[in-house]
Amino acid sequence: MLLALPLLAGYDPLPHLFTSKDDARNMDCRRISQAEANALYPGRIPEPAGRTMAGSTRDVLVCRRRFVRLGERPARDEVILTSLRETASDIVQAAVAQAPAGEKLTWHVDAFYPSIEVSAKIAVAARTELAERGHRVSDRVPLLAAGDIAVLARLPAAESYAGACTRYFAEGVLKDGDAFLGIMIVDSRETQLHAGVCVRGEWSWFR
Amino acid sequence: MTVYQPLTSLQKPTALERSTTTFAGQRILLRCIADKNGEYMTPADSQRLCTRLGSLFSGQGAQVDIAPSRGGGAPEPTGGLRPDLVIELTTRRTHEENPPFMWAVCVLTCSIVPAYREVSIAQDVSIRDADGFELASDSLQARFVEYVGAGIWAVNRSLDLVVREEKDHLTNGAAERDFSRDFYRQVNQLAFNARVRANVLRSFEPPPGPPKKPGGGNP
Repeated sequence: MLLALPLLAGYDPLPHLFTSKDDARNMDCRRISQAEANALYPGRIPEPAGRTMAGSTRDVLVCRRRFVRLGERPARDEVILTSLRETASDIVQAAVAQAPAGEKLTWHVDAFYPSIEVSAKIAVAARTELAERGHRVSDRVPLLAAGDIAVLARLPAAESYAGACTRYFAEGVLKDGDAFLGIMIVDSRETQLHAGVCVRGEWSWFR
Repeated sequence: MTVYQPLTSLQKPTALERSTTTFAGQRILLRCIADKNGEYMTPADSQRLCTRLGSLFSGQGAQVDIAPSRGGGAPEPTGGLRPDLVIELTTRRTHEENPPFMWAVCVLTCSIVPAYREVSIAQDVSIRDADGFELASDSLQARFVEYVGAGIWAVNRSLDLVVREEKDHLTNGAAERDFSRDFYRQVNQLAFNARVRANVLRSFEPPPGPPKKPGGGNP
């Protein structure tokens, strides 16, 4: 009976006899107000009472099981992919603000990430976000000549992206009216994405 | 017996392994702010937290200073030098539940039926540069449920000793250990992310030195 106590009051995601710590960690839980919980789960959470005692507030612990369990993907991929939608939205918003105002640009997007699959997801998320905001987006990824890539790949991040930006416009891969949004990590130990914009051969970091 | 459950952000995976050079050459100013009423975290607790975080970062090569827990405003220069990172931690309690009837039942049943007290807390971490620009922030939230009762303790202690693997133990300070591991790992990763972001936003230029004193330059 003692061990079943956490279960008597409904499902509790705490680790106990039938829930291991790993299972508990694979629940995403957050506290929300009763009014918000009622709006999300009207049949299960009652409406908050019209009158409450002064200073008393009721909240609800809302949990959902993760689609992909922790440990199934590399740690950095997990963090990047879990928040990719919000990150892509923030990046696109800032990128558009960086571009010259009043100019109708065609956006080219590429992501530089160690995993090709994750890299593709990042680029698609950014392109989708740009398109949803009404910008013209190209499917084409600008490519440089093999010689340029060989040189740029040996440079540190500080120089390689600015160098690639210059070459894009010098070689005519990108033209006036084009903008390139690059999204990348610069250190393998970080769990965040950076971004920079290339317009008219000028590279600028903004995140 | 206290059981810990990570809520928002605390169970996120991290990619950073601790090394003695991760923060080499970085000047970090720590400020741990006690909660308003001092109920959950007193000024002394917050200073202890800052001291532990200081050890975490100095063990990775950083030069760490700890600011007083009270007061806000612009960060003070550390030893006359601008800090590279200013890490501010604020603690707040987001939920508390302590049903009195469970204590009554606990007493009436000679603690066979446990009483419980539940507390959820948020540690808001904000990392800025010396100019006050926010480089990274997160709200690390945890839930602790404290059961009081001989019965529940005895059953869980027995399970820990006989059935559960060590990583799944619930007694003997497991909650404190698990929370500390999650918390320091997240703060460490957040500080590293902030460090890299600061580099990127400076376009990888070296950080600016201390402001020159008027008339202090060469003629």
